[in-house]
Amino acid sequence: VKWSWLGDNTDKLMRYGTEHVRLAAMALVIGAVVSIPLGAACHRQRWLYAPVLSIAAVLYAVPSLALVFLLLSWFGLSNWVVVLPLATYTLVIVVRNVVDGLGAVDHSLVDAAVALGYRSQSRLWRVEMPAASATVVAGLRIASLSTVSLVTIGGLVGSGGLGQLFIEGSQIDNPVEVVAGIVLTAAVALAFDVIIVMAYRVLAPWSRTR
Amino acid sequence: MSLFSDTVDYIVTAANWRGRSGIGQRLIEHVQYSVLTVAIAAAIALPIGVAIGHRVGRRGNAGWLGRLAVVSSSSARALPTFGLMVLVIQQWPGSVLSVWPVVVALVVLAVPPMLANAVVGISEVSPGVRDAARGMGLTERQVLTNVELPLAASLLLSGVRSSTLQVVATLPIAAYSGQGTLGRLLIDGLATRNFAVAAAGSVMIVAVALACELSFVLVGRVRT
Repeated sequence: VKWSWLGDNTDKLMRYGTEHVRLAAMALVIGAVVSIPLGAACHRQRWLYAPVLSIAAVLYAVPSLALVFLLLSWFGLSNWVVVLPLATYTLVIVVRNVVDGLGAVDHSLVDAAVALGYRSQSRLWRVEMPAASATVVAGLRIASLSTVSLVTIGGLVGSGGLGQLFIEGSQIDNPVEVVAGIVLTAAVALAFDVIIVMAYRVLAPWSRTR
Repeated sequence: MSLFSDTVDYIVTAANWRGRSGIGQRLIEHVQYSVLTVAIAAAIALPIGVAIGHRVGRRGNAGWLGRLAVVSSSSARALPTFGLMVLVIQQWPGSVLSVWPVVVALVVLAVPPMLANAVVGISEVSPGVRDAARGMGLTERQVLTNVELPLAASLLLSGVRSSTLQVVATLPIAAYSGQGTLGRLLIDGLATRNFAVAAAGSVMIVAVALACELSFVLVGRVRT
């Protein structure tokens, strides 16, 4: 086992690591940005609720790996081949939590906001969404963990990221490279989790007191 | 012909289903390996999870060993299955060309959801129900089998369901280690630039995953 390989290949590790972070972050940001207004719309417009959540339940069961290969076969290689399936995965997890979180907001809180003169839209974004945010963040953390791990699948189709280390490590039979890939992937997952939790604490100071 | 209709054609052509490398054989392998993996993972995760859940319900904490099991299982979720499989092949001489590397890697993926749900399901049984059972003279073992397990059954089932779904979805990486499964169509289709085959494999995997999810929904309905 040649651990010196690590020192000689820091450039490569950095490059794949950066690609990995970029792909995972794109998927998470797109998934979250779409799911929050979509979940809010489902909460407000009851007719949207059943169709959106049914579609989400079906999409949740669709394997990202299969979607990656399907997109690759039909449209050729690009970042989207990996980002789109994982953004969808994030979307279906988070949208459910947005709807559940908004549904669980205390009615007296909503009534109080109405009494204080909040109108529909500002009540949603300033009162209900903050109250539901803990559930939303919990969903985002689950999605983030799976997404970071699943980006390695992209190695199979040559989309870059840390999965590339598994392919190369197995081709030249270099366990150090494979272990480095596993450890770095877990480290990226941990870093994403810490960033989400820290960001939540900064953006939602009331969550710290609980 | 568009790639889309080529994909459909490939799936509906009966000849592509037959033979030792046909879709039929790949489908059977996919189901066999999935069942094997989920069975092994359940045999590990459920007894441990139930035991920890029972202790939490009885004493209010999991104990250091229980906490260790819960923490290591939930940390294992961060490990990439593909990398684990490659590592097992390299570190276990003789495992090359066998199905075990992918099974080991997938067991690591499948244990955490089942274990977590078992712990939560058993420990969240209401203390009143548990005390009533003891008051009626049930032994600790009877409390577990006659009261806690039936009440936790739906959560246990949903743990098995999410594990199974993840196993079915991730099993195609087995093809990278030279095994069969529907992943064979993905890897070979890509390698030979026969994209209709890769797309057909993807569609089949989606179909298996949806069928699997549907059967769990039905099992859940029958049970309740």
